[in-house]
Amino acid sequence: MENLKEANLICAHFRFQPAEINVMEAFDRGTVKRSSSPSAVIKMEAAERPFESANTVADSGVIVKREKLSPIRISEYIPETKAAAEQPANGGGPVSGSVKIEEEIRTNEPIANNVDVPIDEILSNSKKSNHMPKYVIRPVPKLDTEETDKEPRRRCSTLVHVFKFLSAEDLKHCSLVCKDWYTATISPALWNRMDLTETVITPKLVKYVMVRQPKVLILDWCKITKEQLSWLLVRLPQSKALSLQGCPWSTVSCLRSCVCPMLTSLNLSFVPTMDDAALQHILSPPLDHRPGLLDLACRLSNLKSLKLAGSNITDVGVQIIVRVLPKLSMLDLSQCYPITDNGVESLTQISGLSTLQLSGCTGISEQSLKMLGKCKSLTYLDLRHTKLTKSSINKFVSNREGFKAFDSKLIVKIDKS
Amino acid sequence: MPMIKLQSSDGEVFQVDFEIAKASVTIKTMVEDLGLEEEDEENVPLPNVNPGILKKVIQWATYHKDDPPAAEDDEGREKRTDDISSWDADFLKVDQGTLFELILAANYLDIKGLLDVTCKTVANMIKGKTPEEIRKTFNIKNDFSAAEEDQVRKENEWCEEK
Repeated sequence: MENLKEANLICAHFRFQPAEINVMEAFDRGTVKRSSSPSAVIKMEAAERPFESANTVADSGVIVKREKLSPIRISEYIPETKAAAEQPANGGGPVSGSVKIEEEIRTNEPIANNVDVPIDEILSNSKKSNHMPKYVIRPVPKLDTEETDKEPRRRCSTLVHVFKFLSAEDLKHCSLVCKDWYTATISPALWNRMDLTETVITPKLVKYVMVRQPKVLILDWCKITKEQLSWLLVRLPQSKALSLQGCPWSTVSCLRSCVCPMLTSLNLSFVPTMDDAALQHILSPPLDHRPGLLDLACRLSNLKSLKLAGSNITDVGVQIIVRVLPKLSMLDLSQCYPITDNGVESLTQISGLSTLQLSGCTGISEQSLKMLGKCKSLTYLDLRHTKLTKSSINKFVSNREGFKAFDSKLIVKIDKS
Repeated sequence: MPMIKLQSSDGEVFQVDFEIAKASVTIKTMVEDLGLEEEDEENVPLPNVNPGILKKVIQWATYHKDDPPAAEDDEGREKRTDDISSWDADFLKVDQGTLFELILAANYLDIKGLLDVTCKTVANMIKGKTPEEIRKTFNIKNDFSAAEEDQVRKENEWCEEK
């Protein structure tokens, strides 16, 4: 540890060396060499600024505190510039660069006259890019030094608590009271869930949603384009649930993206032309990728709830679901007519499935019920409007403790507590 | 009964039954993390709370010490504000400054019950009022320019376009 520190210090020492040598050389000779032209010195000076207060190892080997470098004054350069001016510009190619700088300094009359102008000012006056910093500049964090600065923010946080108890209408009134109140009304804490069902999505509305960062976003039957949804999804990384019921397929297709939020609940019911191929598309690894990251898994693999009611999904689609979404606990396949007993059989492989809606699935028979009996986690099974007979349902229910049939074909496990 | 010493912003010390002080999650975790014992002479510093407010908070916590634990804060909870008990309503018949200080203290001390009831009281003062009436009630200056106010009003309308 100590050695490392020392090595660093020695390094720092060497980094200072060239600039110092150049300055010393220039003073000693009183003439200008190509390597020690003012521009070179200035560059060195700029480059070593970040080390200003570093400790260096003096030649004697004793660690000394290096004081902040005093700015080099223009007076120190004047002999050099004069010398350079006396020399005819016949040095050839390499010289021309430094000559140009010297000309700039010379033409800058006030600086040449005023010997007390610090180096920083020369650099800022120069049109050359030689004062470009060679290190990353981070903005200084704003400090809460004044109590008056803190006060509105504290008030703002209390307002959010109060606003939680207000209706949407009252919130609108509050947003018009003053700027602080407006800021409080757009706090994401108040907009956990945003329901925009049957809304025409305008660019302004997309921004309105983005500012409020809802965790649950409902866009059922909305007129929203693919571009709008993609724009929004990138900007809602915290989003957990998304409902796109009845939205056009072109819009839904943008869910296959590396920037799609890690949703746990997705509703794609009644999306037109939703079939096996479409489902395969959405549940495939994204085609694009973030820099330095290769997304090999589907971004939706964390889904716990998926609703696909009224789609043309067949048993093939069900197999895709089983393969890609092992964490599923709720699946809605109501009115998916092409599904047969084979599809239901593959569903039993999802170990955590607790809610299954198969109402209106006319393709399934008593065989399905038999297989679902093996599914231990199931607590809610909707088989209404199927061809299953009441007697088979009753048999299923009577064989299982705690289960009860409602509406004759809706099987629910009643929690005893 | 174990007692705990709470020190307000000006250094005044209040002796409180630990069972009562536990209503504040902040104090509870502080005591647990520091491992303070019954016989410890250590004060729990609460530099954000002035003595007047701390007295009120202790009074509230003493009255509500036997309340059953609150329900889980679920997302779909209804926004009722008319369920303030008569004791609380009387307790909160204070000037606005004190009320806001109480909200800040309840927020800082993490006392959910007190935070809810104080916020509900303020929410009731806002409900059904126009922006101008709200400004008058809380003595707030309208710092919007006409254009900005129009902008906010338009924004409020966007989500209504069906």
